Amino acid sequence: MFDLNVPWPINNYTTKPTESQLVGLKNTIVTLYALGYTHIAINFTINEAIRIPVGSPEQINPINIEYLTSELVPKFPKLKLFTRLTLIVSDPAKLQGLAKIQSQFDILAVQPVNEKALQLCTTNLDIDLISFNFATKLPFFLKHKTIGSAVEKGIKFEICYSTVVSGSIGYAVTDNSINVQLIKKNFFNNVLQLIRSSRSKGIVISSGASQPLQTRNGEDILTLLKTLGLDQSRAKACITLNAERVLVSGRLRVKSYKQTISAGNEPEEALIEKREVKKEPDQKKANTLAYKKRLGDSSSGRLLKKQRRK
Amino acid sequence: MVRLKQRYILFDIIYPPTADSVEFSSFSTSHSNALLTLHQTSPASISPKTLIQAIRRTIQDNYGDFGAGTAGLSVSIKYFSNKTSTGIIRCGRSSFQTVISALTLMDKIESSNVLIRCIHVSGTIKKCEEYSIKRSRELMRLLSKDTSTIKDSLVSSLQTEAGDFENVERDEDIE
Repeated sequence: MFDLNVPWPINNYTTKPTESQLVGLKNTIVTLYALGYTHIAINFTINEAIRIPVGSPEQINPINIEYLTSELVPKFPKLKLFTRLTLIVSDPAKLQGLAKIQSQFDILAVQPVNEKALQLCTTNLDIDLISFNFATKLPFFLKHKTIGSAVEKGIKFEICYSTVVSGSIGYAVTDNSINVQLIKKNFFNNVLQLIRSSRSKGIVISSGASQPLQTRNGEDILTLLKTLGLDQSRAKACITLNAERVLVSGRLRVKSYKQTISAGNEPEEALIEKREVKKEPDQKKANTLAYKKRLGDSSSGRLLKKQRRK
Repeated sequence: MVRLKQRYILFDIIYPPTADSVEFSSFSTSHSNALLTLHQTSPASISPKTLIQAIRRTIQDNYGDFGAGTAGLSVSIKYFSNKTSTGIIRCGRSSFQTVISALTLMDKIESSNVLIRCIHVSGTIKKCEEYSIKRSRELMRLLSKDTSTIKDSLVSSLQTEAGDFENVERDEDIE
């Protein structure tokens, strides 16, 4: 199973996580592992107002993935860790240098805060995942046309369940004026909207758990969402196939030519399994970034996509 | 005459480490440490009675009077073992998804922070028992790779579980 959202404890570039925060993060990852999740992505969320140090590539990704991998993977052999960036976006025009950022992370996600941003994210930006803040009422109506075209392009939508399961402890960080009951109500309403507008297609379920207590068994969450009207036959893909596709498309961005062709003898799984040891600043690659295409855009890409479904 | 249909839900209680618990720093150091912490024995305050109260309260909180009437009243606990933190719930067939959702939404029983995982759903209690024994064996196998002293207590308690099922109360309509 896949969990594409375990928050990195820090939301900016200036501070470093404390020792206990790192232990807490490791505990969360291990709890997820014990529940059956093997591919876990650590999520770094920033606001678009925060300046990203585009000039120095090694500072763009603050997640110390080498440290976590060396600490955990020898003890938990099946564990695979990835990094993910989530940008909170209100005006996509402000997003500059996305090409430079995306090679540093395995997955690139955005969280649009208004309808215009959502529209532009789905049409213009080269991203893998769109997430919403489910704790508050969405300020816009999710149209099937917008969501459907994004799903058609291969972009997935994320449902993050930590806000609904965590009870009292999960809200210590949030504003006290928003009460727990309201957050749950908003969550159910927003999930219903997303299920309706996407017709249960292209949904990815992830935990967003900042504490071990906020994790849940994947099947149980699916049952919860089935009572809300998630399509029975498409439910299972939300924690396995769809999430895997997000990872593959994110990894292809780094490891392939125009996201369609990747040379080598390795099977497709190796794309997600293998972590690059050294990232060389490839001049040629940087030039092709501008012409990058999504799998579904070309007919050959669509063929490839269908093959992957087996 | 149509028989009354039931669902049996096999669940286990998992104890994740919290920031003030003793296991906080040692939890992620080895696989067996993590398993032992997560599958620790339940305190005496968690009994079938307190469990069912907690479940009914969660259903009432999340599904209101309608849920409490249709799903909550049909729930009963058939088996619960404090040693292995495993139990079996019986509920109506039409409402089992509601019950599982309520189990998912729980985060606290009495004073302990827990998460409840539903492992298996079956139409007969026998299959749940068999599945539970199978899982216990699997867990024992995982732990026996490790040579720590605490594991012995857990392994012995898991071994008694097979015998424990003799005490499960049988349903009149099944016999």
